[in-house]
Amino acid sequence: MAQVRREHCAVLAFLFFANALTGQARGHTTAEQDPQTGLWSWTWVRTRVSIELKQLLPDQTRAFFLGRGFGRAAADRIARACVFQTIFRNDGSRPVAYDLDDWSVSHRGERLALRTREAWDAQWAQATVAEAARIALWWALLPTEQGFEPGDYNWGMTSFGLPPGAAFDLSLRLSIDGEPVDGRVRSMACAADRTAE
Amino acid sequence: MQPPIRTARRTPLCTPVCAKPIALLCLALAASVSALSQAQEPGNGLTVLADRPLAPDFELLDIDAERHRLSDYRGRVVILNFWATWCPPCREEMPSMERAWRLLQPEGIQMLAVNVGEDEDTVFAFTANYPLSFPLLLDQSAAVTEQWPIRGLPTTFVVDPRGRLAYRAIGGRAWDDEELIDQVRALQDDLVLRVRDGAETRAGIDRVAADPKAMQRRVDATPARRRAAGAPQDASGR
Repeated sequence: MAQVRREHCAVLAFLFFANALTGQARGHTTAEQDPQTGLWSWTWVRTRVSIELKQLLPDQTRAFFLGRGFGRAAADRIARACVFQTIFRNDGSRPVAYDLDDWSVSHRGERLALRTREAWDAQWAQATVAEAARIALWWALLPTEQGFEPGDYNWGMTSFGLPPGAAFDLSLRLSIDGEPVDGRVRSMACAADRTAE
Repeated sequence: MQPPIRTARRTPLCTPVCAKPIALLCLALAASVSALSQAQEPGNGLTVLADRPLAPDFELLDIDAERHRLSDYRGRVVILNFWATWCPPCREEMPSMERAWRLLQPEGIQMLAVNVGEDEDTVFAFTANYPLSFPLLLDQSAAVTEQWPIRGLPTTFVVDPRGRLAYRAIGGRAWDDEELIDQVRALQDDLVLRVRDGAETRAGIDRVAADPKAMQRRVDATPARRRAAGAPQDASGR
């Protein structure tokens, strides 16, 4: 009986470690809800490199861009494009780089690209948007490509281009010290547009 | 649709025979949690730019309409920060920049903060909540910022006395951190020692500090000088 129990425990321990190791290789994700605002945030971590994606209410985003000089229609267009606040940290010992063009979201069986600075800027070329507003949006969004040396950290908005409330999975890709690393954050959701409900 | 809140099951998983591996697993998980808990803290240290490229020169007005040309600060170390009032990590690091400025200004180290894309009124209003005494420069069209190797805000460079980019920090920092300040001072000390050793001209040192005597005392206090003078070192090797 004791022999069986030891074998059972050995298998269990093996499974734990295997899970921990593969989890570490792919990255580890946690989801947390702010008890006061009800907004969700998802954090992906691997070898002390972390990416935190915090839901922003469309109203928050709308107010931010109205305050930066966008007109109502343009601010609304950004606000309803599933904007998250993103905090990227490199607390590890190796340089990290990413290119948002390598990231994608899966929504209702479709694979979609993120809406980057360049994509937004191309839209304003056909619209009448004040220069100050365009500059603010450019710098407020997470850079499309960025390198982070050990100790670097930064914030920026990411826009997933989905409607408010949409559920999606995020596929991300980083390069850690030149080695590609793929990660997946499942069951994310854009914040609902509470004013429109 | 929001994801459901998951709660951990509290069923015992196995007997004490496998308590050790599980304890190790718990340690690994604790390390992950520790990494997560740092999300709101500023970054650490400065990245050394080994090739020290020449800093792109610029001329900008500050909020008091005073003109600043980066090359006019040649001979001094310049901490050059790019920021915006709406940027959370920029706001977060500003009080520590002010504290660092108060420490470093008497030593001849310059600090400049280039605001990207905003007007004078916006920046001026910001200073009501964040009292800052170092020059706040305005790059309203972002034309100067675009000449610099910057992708996001805040980004800060430390320019050496020869006008080259010596260090870079992406994201906010605690600028009054002693280790970080020592890194900045080392650039200044290096120049002054070179002047004293005849490797730089006397004109260089005249630009180093507003108060050359104070600077002299600082130079004499540098670890290299103290060692050369045979002074006893403290526990940290200084």
